[in-house]
Amino acid sequence: MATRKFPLAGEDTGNWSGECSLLTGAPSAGLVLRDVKHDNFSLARDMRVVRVWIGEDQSRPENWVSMRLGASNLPAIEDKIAVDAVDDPKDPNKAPPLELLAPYPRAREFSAKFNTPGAVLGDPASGDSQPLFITQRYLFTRYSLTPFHEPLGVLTAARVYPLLQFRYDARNVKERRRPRILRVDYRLEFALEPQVKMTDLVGRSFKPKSREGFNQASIILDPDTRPTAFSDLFAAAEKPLPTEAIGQGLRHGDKADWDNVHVWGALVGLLPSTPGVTHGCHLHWRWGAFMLVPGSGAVTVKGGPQFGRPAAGLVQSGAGLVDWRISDQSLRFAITGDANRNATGAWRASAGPSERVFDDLFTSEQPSLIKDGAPSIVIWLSFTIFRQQSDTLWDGTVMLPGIYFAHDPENTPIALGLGGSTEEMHKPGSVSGSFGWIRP
Amino acid sequence: MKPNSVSVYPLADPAMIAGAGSAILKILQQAAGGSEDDGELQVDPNTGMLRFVRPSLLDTSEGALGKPENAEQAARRFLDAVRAYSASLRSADGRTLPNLLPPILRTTGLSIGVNSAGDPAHWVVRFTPLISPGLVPQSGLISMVAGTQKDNVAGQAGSLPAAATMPVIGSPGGRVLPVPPSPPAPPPAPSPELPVAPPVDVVNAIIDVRVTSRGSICALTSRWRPLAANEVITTGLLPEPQDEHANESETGPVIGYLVASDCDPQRFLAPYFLSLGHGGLVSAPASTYSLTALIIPVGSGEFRVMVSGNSSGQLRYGWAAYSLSQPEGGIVGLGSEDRVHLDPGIYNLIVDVMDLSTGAICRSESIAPVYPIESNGGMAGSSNPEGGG
Repeated sequence: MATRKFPLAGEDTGNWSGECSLLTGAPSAGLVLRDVKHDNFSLARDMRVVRVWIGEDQSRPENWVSMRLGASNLPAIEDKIAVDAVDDPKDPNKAPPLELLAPYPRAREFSAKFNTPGAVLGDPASGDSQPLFITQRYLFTRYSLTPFHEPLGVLTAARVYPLLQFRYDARNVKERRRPRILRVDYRLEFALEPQVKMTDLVGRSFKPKSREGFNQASIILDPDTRPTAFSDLFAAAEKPLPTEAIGQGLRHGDKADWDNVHVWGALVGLLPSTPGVTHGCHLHWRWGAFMLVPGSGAVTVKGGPQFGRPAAGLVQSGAGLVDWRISDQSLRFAITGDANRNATGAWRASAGPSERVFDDLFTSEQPSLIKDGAPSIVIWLSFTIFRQQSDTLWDGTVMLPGIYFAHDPENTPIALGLGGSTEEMHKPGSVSGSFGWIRP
Repeated sequence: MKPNSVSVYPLADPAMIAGAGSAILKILQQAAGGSEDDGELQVDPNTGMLRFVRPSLLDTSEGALGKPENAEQAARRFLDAVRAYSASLRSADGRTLPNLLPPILRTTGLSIGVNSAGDPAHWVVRFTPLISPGLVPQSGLISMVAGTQKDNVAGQAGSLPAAATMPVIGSPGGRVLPVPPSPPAPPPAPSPELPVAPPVDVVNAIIDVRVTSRGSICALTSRWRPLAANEVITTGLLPEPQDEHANESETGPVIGYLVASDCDPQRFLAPYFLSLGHGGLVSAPASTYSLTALIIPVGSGEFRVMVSGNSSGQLRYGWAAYSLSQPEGGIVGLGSEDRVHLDPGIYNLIVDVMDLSTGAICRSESIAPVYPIESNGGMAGSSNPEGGG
């Protein structure tokens, strides 16, 4: 196990701070970030990949192989956290090219490499399949307005990319067992501080209790056609998310039911603006198709290629923000806030929880109410990558868009100019009534 | 009636601020009421932005948070003390230290800072700077004196090293763009009396002061770029742009000032016409120091830059790029023409533009795909390749 705090004395991390650990042995978890802050504003308590699954048949998860980064079947190549490492171009097993969607100013990167001792399917010595190589990276960028983080071009933010790059080379070999499914499961636990306007607090008694439920979340689906009214900027929204939920983010690289998740710290009854969330965590895996191209009207969009996906020499609007090498991938997510289960129960980070069927980790319990806040919000992301062809190099980068963290006040000229709504949004559903896990 | 002139503020040399780090740390410690050993200061060498923290107070919780208005008052007392202490300081060579803080601050909001246990630990009082677009208020900045500005602008231009590089910050391996030294700007004419204008917002510059429940200062984070001491340029106000978003804007164009992102070079705090609406903030230059640049593809792998807010004088360019698919190749300087040509591939393309008449500088950066893109991404090429990195 290796651990280092960041920044070290004199180290430039773009004002990111926290702790990075390489967890091998039991319990193994690969590279983990804890207590992540930017400019002393809290973002995340814990960020990690909890499981990698690989299998031959999508319909038979019972046959999939389960691996934890750093465990004996996917050990780390060395017990060391690399800093700003660059692969040797002559290394036949180097990570695939990292083609981020926009040149956000890089600050620091921590990485580690893992590989299966032999064949990833079947006995390692059997040669039934090829080894699997993984590079896990956390890349941090500086606080910047440009390149734009969102199509309206108003948010200044810094980004953290919890990336996983894989390489499986089946060129010129005979595979007796062919992996066709690779699934990467993340557990990202966010805990942000709330912000308020002075005018909302003056004259009120205010005594926040310890461990008060400061964190709320939203899920949103973008429209694909340019709205004619600012109020139509979202095709669907749950803000704040009333209960813990499971949703579908992408289906085979394309639009599914939801496009993004936001987490913020807020006091009860005071919501951040939407669009906006000038102090919050933003996780987008797709943007509405019209947001690629600059245009004015009810909503002035500055656009940019980072809001679409590179595809065959063009940029594909409205597509999932995934690595074009592995564009056939689906994303399922869950959002949990139950304090006991997240901290000490079945969903605690140290357990590295993940089930063959993603939903099974959650659905044995009733979803808890999180509308009025939770001590932390855990976002569970499950990326399933479908292999298109055999006898080829199968490689790519997972979690390409990363996460961006803005921590500016709401009451600035830009935020005010945007005119976002601080009201609740439940579209098309309703807050009343009971909710099951699956949304919509 | 609107004035036909506007103020532009030269920024302090970040290297000078970084060089005065020890003195600035003492000022902050004194203003915070701490001891000499209590507090750490980080000065960004590229922007002069300050980050001060007292770790002994940052993570502790002294009990229930006090009234927010008390925290705001404590923060303002601290900032006033910083201004007062720094006003009398000079650098080792006798130069007046720059103004570390903006002349006017507006309280924008508060945040609750938590300690590592997740408990409320302190207030974060958040300020937005304001500045006068005309005569500078009485905080210490005065009207320009004829001859002074020439020396200072020449000093800033001459601060480029003999190798003639502009720093390009924030990407792997560090970046410098080769640019020939720029000549000093001509001295501006003495300024007449200016009408006092109300202060306006400075956008993208937030100052956060963290205050414990007992009123102690535990941290200062300033995204303000300090101004050069006692300097202001009076220059002509450009015409207002045609408002294309008149139907959507809730307000007509107003004058505001923009602080560049942490990684972008900037020499002047310059005014812009800002239009607010459902598109956020739309900006147009309000002076010939308010330089903006945008990389545009013109086809066949060629890229040019569209510049606005410049004087009629000569522009100088510095291009660089790195291949996104082969970043181990490092950053390649691509010369100083007004255009650049890239071979097929996908790149991170950067250009710095300097107006040689004023010394104003700005940066534009873009993902630049040149088709057809091969699976290995190709490598950058140029009509004037230069080494770099």
